[in-house]
Amino acid sequence: MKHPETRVLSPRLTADDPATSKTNAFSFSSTHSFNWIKRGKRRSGCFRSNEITTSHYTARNFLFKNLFQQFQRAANVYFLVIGCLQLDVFFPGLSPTHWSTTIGPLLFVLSINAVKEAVDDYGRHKSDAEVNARTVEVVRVKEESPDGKKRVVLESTAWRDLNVGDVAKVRADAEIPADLLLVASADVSSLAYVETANLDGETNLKVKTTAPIEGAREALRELDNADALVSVFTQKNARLACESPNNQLYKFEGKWITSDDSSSGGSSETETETGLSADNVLLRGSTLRNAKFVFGVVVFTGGDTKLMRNATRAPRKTSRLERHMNVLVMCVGLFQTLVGLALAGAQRKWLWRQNPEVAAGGSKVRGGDSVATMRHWYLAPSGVWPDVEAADADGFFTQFVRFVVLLNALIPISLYVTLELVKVIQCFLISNDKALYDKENDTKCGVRTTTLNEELGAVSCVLSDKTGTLTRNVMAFAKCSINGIAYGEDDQVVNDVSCLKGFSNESDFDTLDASSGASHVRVRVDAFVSGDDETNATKTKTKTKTKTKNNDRVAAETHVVARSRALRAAVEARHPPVAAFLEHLATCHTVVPEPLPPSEEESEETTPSSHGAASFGGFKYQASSPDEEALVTGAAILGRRVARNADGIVEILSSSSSDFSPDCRETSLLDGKEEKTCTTVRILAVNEFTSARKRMSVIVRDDSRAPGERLILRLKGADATVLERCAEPADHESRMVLEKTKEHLDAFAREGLRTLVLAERNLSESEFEDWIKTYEHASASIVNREVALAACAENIERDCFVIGATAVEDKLQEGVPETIETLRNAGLLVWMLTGDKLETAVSIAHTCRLIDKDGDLVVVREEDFVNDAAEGAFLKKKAAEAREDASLGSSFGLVIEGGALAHALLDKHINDFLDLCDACVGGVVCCRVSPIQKAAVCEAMKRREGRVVLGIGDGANDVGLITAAHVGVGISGREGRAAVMAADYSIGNFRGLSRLMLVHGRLSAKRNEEVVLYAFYKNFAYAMANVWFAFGSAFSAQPAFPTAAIATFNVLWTSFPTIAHAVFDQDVRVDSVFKVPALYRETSSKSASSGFDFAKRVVGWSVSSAFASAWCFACAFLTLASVGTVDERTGVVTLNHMTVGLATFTAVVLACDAKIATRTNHWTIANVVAVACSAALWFPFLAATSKAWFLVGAFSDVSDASDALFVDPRFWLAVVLGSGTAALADLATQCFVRVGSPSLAEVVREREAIDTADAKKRDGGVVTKKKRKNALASRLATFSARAASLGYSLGKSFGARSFASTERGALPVTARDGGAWKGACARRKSRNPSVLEVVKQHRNFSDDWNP
Amino acid sequence: RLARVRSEMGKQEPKNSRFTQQQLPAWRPTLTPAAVSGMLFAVAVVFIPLGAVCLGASNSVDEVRVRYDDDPACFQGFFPTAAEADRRRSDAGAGTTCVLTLTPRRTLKAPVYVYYEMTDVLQNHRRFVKSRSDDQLAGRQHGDFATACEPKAHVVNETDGTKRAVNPCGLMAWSTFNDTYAFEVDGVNVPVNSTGLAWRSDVREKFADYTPANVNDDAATRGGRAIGPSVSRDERFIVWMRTAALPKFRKLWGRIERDVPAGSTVRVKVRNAWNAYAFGGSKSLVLSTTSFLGGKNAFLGAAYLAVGLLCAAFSAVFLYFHFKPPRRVGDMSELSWQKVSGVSARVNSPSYD
Repeated sequence: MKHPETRVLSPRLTADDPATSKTNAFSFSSTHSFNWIKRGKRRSGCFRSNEITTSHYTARNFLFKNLFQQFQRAANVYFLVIGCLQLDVFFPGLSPTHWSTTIGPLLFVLSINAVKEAVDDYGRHKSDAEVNARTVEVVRVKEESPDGKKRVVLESTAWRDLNVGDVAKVRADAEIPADLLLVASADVSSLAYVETANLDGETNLKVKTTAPIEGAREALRELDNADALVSVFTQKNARLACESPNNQLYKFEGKWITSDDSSSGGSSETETETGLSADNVLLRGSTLRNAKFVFGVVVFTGGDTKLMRNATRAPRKTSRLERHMNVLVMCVGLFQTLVGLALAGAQRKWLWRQNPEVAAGGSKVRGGDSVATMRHWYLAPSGVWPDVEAADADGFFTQFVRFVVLLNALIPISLYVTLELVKVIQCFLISNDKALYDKENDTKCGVRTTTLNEELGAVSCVLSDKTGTLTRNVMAFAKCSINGIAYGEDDQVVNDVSCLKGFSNESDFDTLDASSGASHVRVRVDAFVSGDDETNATKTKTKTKTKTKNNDRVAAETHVVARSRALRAAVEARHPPVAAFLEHLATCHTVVPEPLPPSEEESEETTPSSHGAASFGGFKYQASSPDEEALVTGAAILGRRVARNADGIVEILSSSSSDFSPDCRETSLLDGKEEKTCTTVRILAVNEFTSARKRMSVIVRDDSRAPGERLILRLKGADATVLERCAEPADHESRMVLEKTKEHLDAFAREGLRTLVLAERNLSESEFEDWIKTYEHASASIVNREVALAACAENIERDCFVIGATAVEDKLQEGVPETIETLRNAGLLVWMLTGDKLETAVSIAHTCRLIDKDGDLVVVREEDFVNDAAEGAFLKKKAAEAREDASLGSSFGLVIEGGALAHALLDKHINDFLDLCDACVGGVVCCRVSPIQKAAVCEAMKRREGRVVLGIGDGANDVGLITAAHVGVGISGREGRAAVMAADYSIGNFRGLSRLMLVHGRLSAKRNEEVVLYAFYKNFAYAMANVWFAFGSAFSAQPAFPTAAIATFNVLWTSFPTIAHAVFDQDVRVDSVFKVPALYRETSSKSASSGFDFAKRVVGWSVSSAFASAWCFACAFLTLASVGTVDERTGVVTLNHMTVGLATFTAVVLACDAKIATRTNHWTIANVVAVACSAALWFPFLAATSKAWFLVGAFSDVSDASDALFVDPRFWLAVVLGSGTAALADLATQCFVRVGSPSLAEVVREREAIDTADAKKRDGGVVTKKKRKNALASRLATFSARAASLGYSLGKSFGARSFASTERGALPVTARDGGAWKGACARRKSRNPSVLEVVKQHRNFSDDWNP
Repeated sequence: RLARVRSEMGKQEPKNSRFTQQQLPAWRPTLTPAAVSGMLFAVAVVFIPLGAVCLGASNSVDEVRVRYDDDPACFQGFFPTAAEADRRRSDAGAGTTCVLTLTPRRTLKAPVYVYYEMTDVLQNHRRFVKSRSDDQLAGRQHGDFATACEPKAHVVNETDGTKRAVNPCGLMAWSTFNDTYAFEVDGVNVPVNSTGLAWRSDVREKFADYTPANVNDDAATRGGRAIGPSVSRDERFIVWMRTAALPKFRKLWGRIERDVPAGSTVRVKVRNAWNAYAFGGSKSLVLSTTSFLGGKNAFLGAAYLAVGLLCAAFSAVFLYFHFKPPRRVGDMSELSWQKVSGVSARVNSPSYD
């Protein structure tokens, strides 16, 4: 408690009313005087209030805070600075443009963001208020006035008023209001069950035990007895010392300290301490189940609760596009600076030409008195700083600033907000995609990071977890090895018919436990059914029975091992090793059995499978690990039903032993037909499973056994860790058994099963006594308890002997092989990272087509590094081999073990290792990796230039991987929400990944890049007009466009088409990506490419933009600057420069809208409206501003311009000529490129168009015979063309054409010719498909195309 | 909040709307050579005749133009001395009067527009453009306009040092064009109409009917001229105040409301006062008729013709691509390998970069 990281609190039974607390003896104890926590603001003194705020703003601070946040973005600051420079008040005559040209759009951008934030925050405020206002009952001691007697009342208190130390009463099915120390439960066995789905997503109930506080339970049960309550919580100066608030959900270290009343001064000798653990704490956010009510002392409140500590912000990741964009903004800023310098320099030169004498003399040209020195005498400088026309550095700088202000539009002000908006909409589309919706779990795709959509389309490498991600994480106890004999082999499985009939008929499954033969079962079935019907067949009971039976059937179908005939026989025969094995299974675990109540049945009728596999014989088995669930259920099917596991007691209902304990609760399960017994075993200590230890052990006392053997250590865990803790077998026989077991383990693993080894040993009383002391000491420690416990366990877990091994099967998720196939065809590397054994991993990798089955395997083990004298030379050698092989057409898959990975990821090896990985085209599997290594592999992959890594996983052990990857995807599966909370995207099952990446990722990548490029295009097009104009206005920084136009260009006339484009555009149809996965690769290689490649595309767009801008400028100025016609109504003859500028602007706006139109592949109504309205609404706006010029001072430069322009045919001709030519040039260039070197997407798109046309023709039904003949002929022609062409190379992805060449068997030969072929060949050959296979695939594909 | 999320579970399934499923009906045009060829051809069909019409319109305009600032008769005596340095600096260009003789080759039909054309005059210079006060010109304000109009905002009385505000102020008004022309066709004096030259809206709204004060009215100095009788009635001033877009511009000076027959002798008495010599600009006098596209300007017609012809040419190119395609449309086997090698770098082909 002296430790700085502890906090001490006392239970408080008084309200905060100062009057009561004065008169009351149980006020806040002084022990909470630790001053480390001063943040608490409410009445609770030094602890936090229980009020939670997830909102970011309040009404008062919104404006300030939001602006502060927004101005952390450099672009906003930039525009603010520009806007300030434009203020004539501060810098008269400096700015060439009005301040509203920058401040206007900036305000617009800021307010859009502010509105978005405000809407978000409003929702948060509302939910916060709702949560904070919930009520909970709190125990208060009140003084009864007449006789001074204390009375205990339950006061209803709002959650927000709950304070540390309060004793709260929570009722069943209510949410826990704060982190509570469980002190009493209404449950008979003082347990409480909580559902923690809100915390970690696990739906299984967790059992919590009451803190071992003397008398608390009794005192709270009878609340009338105030004195008892008082004595429990206060008289002994009771207090609680615990760790400081943290975010670890499964850890709580604390102790309950009481000291004798007499020495309340706090002398330490009299203090007694009781250790408390996470088992005693109910966490906020979880829901109470299966107990009528509980009492708890509030330990952590509000922001200190584990829930809130875990509410981390979504990780901030930026996409490649965003980084490129930022660099691009910098470059544009640089460009702007350079252009500004150049133009300012040109103006200097012009000025010097004006005043050769002055330039030579070096004096300033300032003020009215030097007018005579300007050749252009009508341009006399004003002489008011900073509006000076000085030929020196001062004037140069002023002019440079002017050009920077003038050209600030080069930086697209609306880009950030547009992109933000667009991405939010895209995220909405992703999360509402029906194809990503998982019906089974009722989860839709979750998007936690809104900035990474395009990164999903740039991925080149997928690192996947195995369990729960590729596999279902629904474990089935498939096989076991006992005493050197393997059970569960296929040939030994009980005949399905006989066995399963037993379940599906109305048999009580219990009967099967003891039976071995089918006939046996049937006899019993009949007998039982009749008996049941006759006696107590109420409706509910029958229903419950049906339900139970249904679950039993599911369980029996799942856990295959139970159907092993040999095993059944052995169980029947009470073969001692088998009995010991089952005993081990039934005792060494942390599973909690929960009787299936009849009431539960109706609600869950619809989903019998939800726990069918984990329930048997009326019990539902709740376990944190699905493996344990499977093993315990398996044991139950085999006749060892765990009926209770709490308070250090395990009750086992067994059907084959003759002992009988009278204190068994579940006597009702005895049906009288079958001899059943209940054994009680004491669990004295549990050394829990951790991922570091990879094993667990229990120490049990079994009084039914012989005196010397009553204390048993039972150890269960991964084979490596358990085997190294086993004693050398003494005799030949046991050595043989051990060898056999090892063989079986290997065999199981090869089949892709997860193996565990069971071992045990007897303990002597003295050994146990010694050990238990250290154990208790360790478990009472507050700091580093886990480490202490692990060390403690290490001492006792030794010299065991193996009694058997188990093998659990984890089935693949639906669609996993297909998805991986698609991903690999899309050019993605798919790696599997798993903690499983090598053999298991390889087997799973084969079945999910992650490694080619017929390819060779390179296996890298730790020994390779240890034995390698030349330090990693073997990596190089193997890489060379693999490369050679790849060039010959076969492929290597790489399998690397965790131990070796630790070496390979060292700096000196990493490059060789990555080379090897690259060379092994057959797929890479890392097995036996720890969570940290998963993250390390990910980091290593990220080192390679241009490689975007996606990490996908479902469990807490994948969090490192998910956060390290460029894009993290979480599977919201059975292993909690840790992965989902850390991920950027969450999907219901692995299958969704292909759609998430190939469809949404690809589209977003394409769309968002266009948004960025287009933003630069349009701003470049319109800002550059000012540069062209500078050449005609003596570099005076006179803007070409009027204020009203500049202020609205980005916001009104060009932004909506971009948004529509980025939300709706589809270059190819959605399903085509699955037919031609290479489309993804095309996009991703483009998106993942370096900044240089991006720059090349920027240059392409800039050239087209510069052309559009220059041409529009030329058209307008060369046409309209000359003399026009005299219009009778307006009298306009010549247009002034701003009017000509407006014409230029009109042409530029139309050109920009036309540009986005030429880029649009998919014209939905929204695109049409956005483009048409943006272009069309400009004209009424122009008319309005030129009419209303006298209302707004800034508009005076466009006075009556529309009058002049709209009647002038030259205006319309010039605008059409300018924008039309720009658009045509763009279209023609695009088409030209398409004809010459099309992108894959473009070709696929054409193909789609052809197919659509064909389909229409067919539907029209007017296909004449001749036409059909023609079609046939042309098809034949194309087929032969394909054979000759490079068809095969594109493989099955590219469709029907390849079919012809494959059919002729020509492909492998032609495919090998030509250097350009090499990459593709290697790719194809690496998969080394049989010709038949290829043909088949191609046929499928051509069917797709020609339905 | 969490509780709320939880309570919503079970109805998580997204709605099946066409928008959220990205299945809105859409038009998906394909950019095939045939389509582009057709489009270009259509544009050519429109543009070429348009270009021809525009060119025709430009050619139908008859104009007579004569540069007079370099005419010795006009130039000599403009400055007191012949020294170049003086020309640059001198405010004392007193101006000259000279007579030009023009002979139109074709009859100029009434109304004949009289323009002055200037080159290298930077009316679009930032200093010039903003050196005015719209409020003052519109008669809304009569105060001090120092900032915008500097250095032509005040006149300082040298004797008593008092400052008087200039109205209309600024460089633009101060440098008003002050050359004048008087016409004589075949010996007959021809009046020049000086109304209806400016934008009607300018006359109505932007320039108020008031008498200028303290402007540069000494005609002997650069641009000096009495503006008036009132600001809004001096349309030549209003025309000057609409700043030209390019350094070379024509501004309307007046209208001759009668035909000027072909071969007639037009004698113009020019008062050459506006100093273009200081910066080497030129001044010309132009008599011109108009077409529906205004004065002579071949650009529009030529550009339309050129773009139309280009479109026609490219239309032919794409037509060729249509019939003799470098590749078949939608034929995926004919993708060039350069492209596809990037695409197909499936898994890790030996060199990843």
